[in-house]
Amino acid sequence: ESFASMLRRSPLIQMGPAKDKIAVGRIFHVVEDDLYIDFGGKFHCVCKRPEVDGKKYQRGTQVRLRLLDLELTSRFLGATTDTTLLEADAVLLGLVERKQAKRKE
Amino acid sequence: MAGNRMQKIGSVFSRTRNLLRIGVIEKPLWFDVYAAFPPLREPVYRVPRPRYGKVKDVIPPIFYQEDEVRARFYRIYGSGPRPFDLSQSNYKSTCQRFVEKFNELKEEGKIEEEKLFEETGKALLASGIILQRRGTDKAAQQDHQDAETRDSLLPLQLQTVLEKIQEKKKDGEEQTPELAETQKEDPLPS
Repeated sequence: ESFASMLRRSPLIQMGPAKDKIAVGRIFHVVEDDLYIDFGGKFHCVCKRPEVDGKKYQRGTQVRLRLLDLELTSRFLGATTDTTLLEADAVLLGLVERKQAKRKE
Repeated sequence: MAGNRMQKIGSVFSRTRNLLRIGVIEKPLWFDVYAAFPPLREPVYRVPRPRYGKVKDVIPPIFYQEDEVRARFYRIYGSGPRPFDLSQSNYKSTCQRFVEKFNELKEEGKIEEEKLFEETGKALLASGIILQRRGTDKAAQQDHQDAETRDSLLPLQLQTVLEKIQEKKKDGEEQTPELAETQKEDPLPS
């Protein structure tokens, strides 16, 4: 299989623009109240621990996110290239509800 | 495993040679080959010349034919009912199923162009995937007001469904569950 055909069918291309898409992520690092969540994109995102069920968010927890941006970049005045934060931007919606989720492919 | 990926300092060969001399890495397979047959130009990083005027580096955007269908799908239905799981490489989102169904129906050629979109939605409903239209919050507020009128319409619609079922019993039973599902799904706040 060629890279081009695999890219065409990859989940990233299926998603299209990342604005306002719901995705599932996994917490891989916790620093007190900051949760570093990896959802399979180029970069991870960092979210604040929510007040509801705060203790349940530990390393390895699956969470639901609403993606806003895959990479936070912007160009400053006088610069030739963009400056990147090496981070994605997402809103934490909550935990993945295991019991209701049906077994799909 | 140590390695130097700072691409702007010297070339790959010079970096690997220095690392070898220190003794941090073991000799890679290509090292002797490169030493025996070096390229014409040593691959040192050179700053690209700044372009002036209207000369622009044209990088064509990556667009596929399925993107049109996907764009329409996302505009109408928002993000799919299932959250995306990008970590699996063989993941098939709802949108992908929609696109494949769309292409199948298009190749069959029996349905017209305008109706293809709705037909794909109905086909997906028949296979059990419920699609919610975007803007459901605004629709829900209006639905509370229209709930009374809708309740009176429901028995009428159910009657029409019953009549259609009785008519189409001769044709076959495959179409009726689909019809019943779509008739029930349409009036419900979706």
